[in-house]
Amino acid sequence: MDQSLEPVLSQPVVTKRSIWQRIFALRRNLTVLIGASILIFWVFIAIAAPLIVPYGINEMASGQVWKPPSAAHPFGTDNLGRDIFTRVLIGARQMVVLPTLSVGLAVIIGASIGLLSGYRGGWVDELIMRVMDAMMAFPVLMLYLMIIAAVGASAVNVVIAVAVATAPGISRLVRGLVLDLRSREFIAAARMRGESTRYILFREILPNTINPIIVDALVRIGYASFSISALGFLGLGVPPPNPDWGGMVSEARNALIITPTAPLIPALAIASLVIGFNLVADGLSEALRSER
Amino acid sequence: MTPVLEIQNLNVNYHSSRGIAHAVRDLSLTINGGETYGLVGESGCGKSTVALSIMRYLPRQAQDSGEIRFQGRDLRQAPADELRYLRGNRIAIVYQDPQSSLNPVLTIERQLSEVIAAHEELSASETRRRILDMLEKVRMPDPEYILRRYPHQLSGGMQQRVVIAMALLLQPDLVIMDEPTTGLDVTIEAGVLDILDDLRREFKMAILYISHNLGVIARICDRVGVMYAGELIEQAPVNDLFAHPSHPYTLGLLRCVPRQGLRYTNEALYSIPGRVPPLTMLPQGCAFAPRCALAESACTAAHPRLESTAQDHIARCIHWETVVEQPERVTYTKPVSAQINQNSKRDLLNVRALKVHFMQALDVLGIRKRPNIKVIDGVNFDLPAQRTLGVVGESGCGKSTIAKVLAGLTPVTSGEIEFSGNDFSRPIEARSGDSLKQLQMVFQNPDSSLNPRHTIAQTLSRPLRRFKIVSPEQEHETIIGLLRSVNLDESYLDRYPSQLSGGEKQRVAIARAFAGNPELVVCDEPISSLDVSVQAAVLNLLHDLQHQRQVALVFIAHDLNVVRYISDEVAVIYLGRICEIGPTDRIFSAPSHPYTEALMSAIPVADPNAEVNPIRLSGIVPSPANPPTGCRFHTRCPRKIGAICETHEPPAQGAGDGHKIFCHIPLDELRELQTDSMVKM
Amino acid sequence: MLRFILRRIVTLIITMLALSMLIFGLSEVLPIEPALVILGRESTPEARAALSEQMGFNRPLPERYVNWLARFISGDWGESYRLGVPIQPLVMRRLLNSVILAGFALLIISPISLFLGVLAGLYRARWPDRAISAGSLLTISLPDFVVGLLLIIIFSWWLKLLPADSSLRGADLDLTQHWRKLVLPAVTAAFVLVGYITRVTRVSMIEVMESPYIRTAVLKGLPYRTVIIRHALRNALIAPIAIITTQFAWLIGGLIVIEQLFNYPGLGSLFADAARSNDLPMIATSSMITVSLIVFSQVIADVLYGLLNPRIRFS
Repeated sequence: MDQSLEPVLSQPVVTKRSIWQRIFALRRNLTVLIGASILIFWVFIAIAAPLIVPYGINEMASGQVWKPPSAAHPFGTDNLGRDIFTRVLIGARQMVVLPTLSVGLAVIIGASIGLLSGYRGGWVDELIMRVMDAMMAFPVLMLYLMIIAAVGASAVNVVIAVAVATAPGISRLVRGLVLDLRSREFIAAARMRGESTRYILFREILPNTINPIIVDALVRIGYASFSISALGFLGLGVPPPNPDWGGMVSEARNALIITPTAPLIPALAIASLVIGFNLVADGLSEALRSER
Repeated sequence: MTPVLEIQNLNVNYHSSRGIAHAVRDLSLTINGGETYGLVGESGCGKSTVALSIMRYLPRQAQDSGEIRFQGRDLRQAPADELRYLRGNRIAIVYQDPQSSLNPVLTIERQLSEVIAAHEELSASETRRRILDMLEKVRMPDPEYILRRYPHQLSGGMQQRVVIAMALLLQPDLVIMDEPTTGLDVTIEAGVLDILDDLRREFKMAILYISHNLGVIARICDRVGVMYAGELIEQAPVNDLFAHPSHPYTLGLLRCVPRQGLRYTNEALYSIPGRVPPLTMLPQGCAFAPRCALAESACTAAHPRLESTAQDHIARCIHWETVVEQPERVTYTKPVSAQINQNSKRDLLNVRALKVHFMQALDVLGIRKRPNIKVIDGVNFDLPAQRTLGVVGESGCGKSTIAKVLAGLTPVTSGEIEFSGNDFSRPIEARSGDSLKQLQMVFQNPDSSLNPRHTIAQTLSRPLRRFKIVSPEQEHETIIGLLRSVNLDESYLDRYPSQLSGGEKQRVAIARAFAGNPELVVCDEPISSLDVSVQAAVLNLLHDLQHQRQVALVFIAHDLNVVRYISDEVAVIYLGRICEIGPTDRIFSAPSHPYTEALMSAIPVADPNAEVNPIRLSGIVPSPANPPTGCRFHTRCPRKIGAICETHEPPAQGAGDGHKIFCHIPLDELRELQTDSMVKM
Repeated sequence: MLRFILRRIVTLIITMLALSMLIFGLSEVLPIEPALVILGRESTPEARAALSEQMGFNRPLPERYVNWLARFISGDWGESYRLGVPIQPLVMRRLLNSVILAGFALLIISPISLFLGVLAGLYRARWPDRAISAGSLLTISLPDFVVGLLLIIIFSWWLKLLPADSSLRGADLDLTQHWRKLVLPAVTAAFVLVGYITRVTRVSMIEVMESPYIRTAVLKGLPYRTVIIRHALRNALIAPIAIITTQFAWLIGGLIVIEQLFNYPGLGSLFADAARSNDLPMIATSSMITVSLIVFSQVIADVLYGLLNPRIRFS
């Protein structure tokens, strides 16, 4: 009997759960659960804030300066008698949107640079990476401060500054991935088909970099939100009247003696947001890693 | 004979997110003092887990049960300090991949002396003497120099000898060797096996030798056990096992390795259909039944027990008698007649004076560079259409570079490559679209040949679209046809490479290479990383496809028997130059180039009665940055005749029918010298 | 090895040049008229023009860059626009303060994080590791001013043990008396870094413990202590030590927020003030110093790594 021409016996398929199934399965992972809950909570607040808050962000209650928490003002009041509860909730909006936008922008810029530089190689790659290294030699905040000082503080500029400062790290990551992928044989196979550089970069290489980029981006969003609040703390963040958590901490620092909750609450809000992003990133990296 | 090791009913389970993997199932075996017991099986059969169990180094998620008695004591019950006393002292282990087994930050001397220090009270000078003594026993050149070095400064063969020396320093009663020569070049492996023979004679220790290589097992083992899917399925004295295999799997394994002298013109290779079941989803009854030609309902109904088939010979099969008396019912041979590759007399590929030199930095900063590294240094060959040229050599000889140069992935330093009338010495970007289609490649590593993010369907459709082979309507059908041609069915279309086994991935890679109907397919070590039983299937496949589609092949490998099986002509390469080229049958008979001769004598034969041929090469392969003058092989050649080998490049001596040998020794003399000592073909 | 070091030094020089251009370029982009800053708003356009001419603000860009670079290298760092005093002594004093603070922080960080990281790696997936991993995840997620604030609330406001204000006046440089002022900022700085370095050490330790050569060491019958100390640690600690080296430099100039929070007169704080007041020469100088230290420390870390790793040392 001529067995060798029989098709290979149908093997039971090693089921590969789709990426969404695996993410869904993560709900049992405690760290991810906590992190995701925090994030979902803040996103909800960011969306629903205008409907919930009892006061306006600039509504000043006369004579109620630096008051500790009370029934009327659950988080107390600030130096102008404004309700801190209101300002924290409304402030959530920019704390959720700005970091996401800036890292999104950074990914686009950084991934493009990394892709091209890594694939091209040669002196172009060397040069670009030296420039990236130079930019990464700056303590992040220093870079922000210089850029903001140059172009002025506004929401758009903050996004741009954070994007520009974050992009080099992403480009390094992507370049590393590209270098590794470039030596794989399916790329050689593509070259032997005469595929264009564009095809190879976008259809062969890029899909393999998406997962690590996403995980990395999540962590960076956490740090971006922390940096943006640090900018606010230093007085170079988004200018008033928007309530800036970092700025609120800075203003309240000296009122610590009277009402410690005034700086503490916005600080904890910032902390919770960053923790949330990091927990989710940590958990997701486990799920996405096993796909390799 | 007192037993040194007695394993009874060993079970090892690994707990993972995918379920419970039954790595070792109810294993029992006994090793007597002074005997060498071989444990054979393919990857995933559990043999390495057995070794880990004995040494009590199982990972945390493993759970084991059973008894492991070493000289009477049950190791599973032994307390930590007893284990520490035994390890390195009474039981030692040698692993594959010596580079990673040695600590990169400690000197060789330190790593050797600490074994002694951990178990005995010797003075520093005594320790040193013992170490040097041992290094001499493993034939280490210049041992004093070696002691001061770090592991990465030694070659692979030397590293393994250090590891062996380390294991034997305290003359243990049992030595476990887990694939110790896998990954070494075959000539180096032969040297290490020679040393093992000497050491066995001198120290008379018991050895548990784990390997998938039947030739090595045949050479050094006294008794053999065969494992499949975690179980022992056959055990016998070595001669008996090879002469009368009594389990369909054992028989299959023996038959699917290309035996000495086997060529595709004789018969097709036997390949075991199907694949090893995942250890988390073992079938009911006999684990081998889904792949067995003799399987019937009784096989899947109940789990077969070990039955005694002859003196000291057991097998786990209810049909063992059939296996012994009618082995052809288990295996088969394919009809051959139409399979011979036509000799079309039209040269498809001409390579002349090919040189590929890589740059080496001359100064500290790497600014000045010279093309010093002569990876390929003057190679000539022709390939007629529809024929197969085998290129064989050991690591570092340049054969992979030949593949890359033909593919256009590595630039040519000088020389000509003419393919079907086109100039292929230019890199791939300079080749015209049409000619690209005609030359495709199958790569060595199935894991990185396929894009992990593309389904099989996407991988196969891309070349069709790129080369416009078929219209979009016909694409789907064509892909299915391609899959069928590599013996895979439609269900593979939507799968991702991570869901396929190594053999299946390689089949897809082959299908992809043939998708564009090329005239020439370059195969760069296409089966080296596959299991033995899968290698045969893929080799058959390649040959069938080649023949059906009338494609020429350049088949590059380090395994001489495989190359011999599939090639019409063979080129033997050493250090960037061809030392011998010609029709396959002529290459493998006298006269041969001394290097070819050494290669052939180094291959372990899967026959316990074969004589071990003692032609050995001395020294290590010189660096391509500093190749020897004259004949490149003269630094290691056992047949070197004198100064002429150092000063003059050897001439091409024609032995008829296109057979050329590049050697200074006159052919007649060579023939005479070699006819006596050559391994019987 | 020599080639390794030389290549690093060449890269260092190139990167430094790139950095100097970046910094100079950035300060060029600032929409400030230096003359305006110096003379104030009440000055006349003519006076400003005269000053610009005199100070060479109108010379072509490359010429100004080269002049600036030459002066920087020779230590002539000009005068602060904001304060009107020579930059050099001010920067050096602040640098000293920052180095002290960084040293203090590093003293806290290194033993703790290396120890915890090794512990977590040894007891992988068991409770010490879970606790340490969770803890480090937490500490790297807490922004530094949050940690600082919490510490101030606990130790200054509530327990009244340590001062919340760490500003130093001239004579306060006598540390034996005023060491308390260093504690909270140093601990805050240590907090974040401890988490990061612990994680790095943990990963390195895990990788080493799973390596074949540790298996060889255990199966040779070596005592566990020997395996850990002689075989594991020597490999596992190479990477963390290199990273600690780079972090030291970062601690010197990068603690902008912490210094502001505690009013500590260090380099970071100097930079922040300069940035807020458009003090160009100060911005340029302080950032150059910080960045130079960081890049230099990266080279030292690389060389250290190469020395500790025989594969590089003897290649």
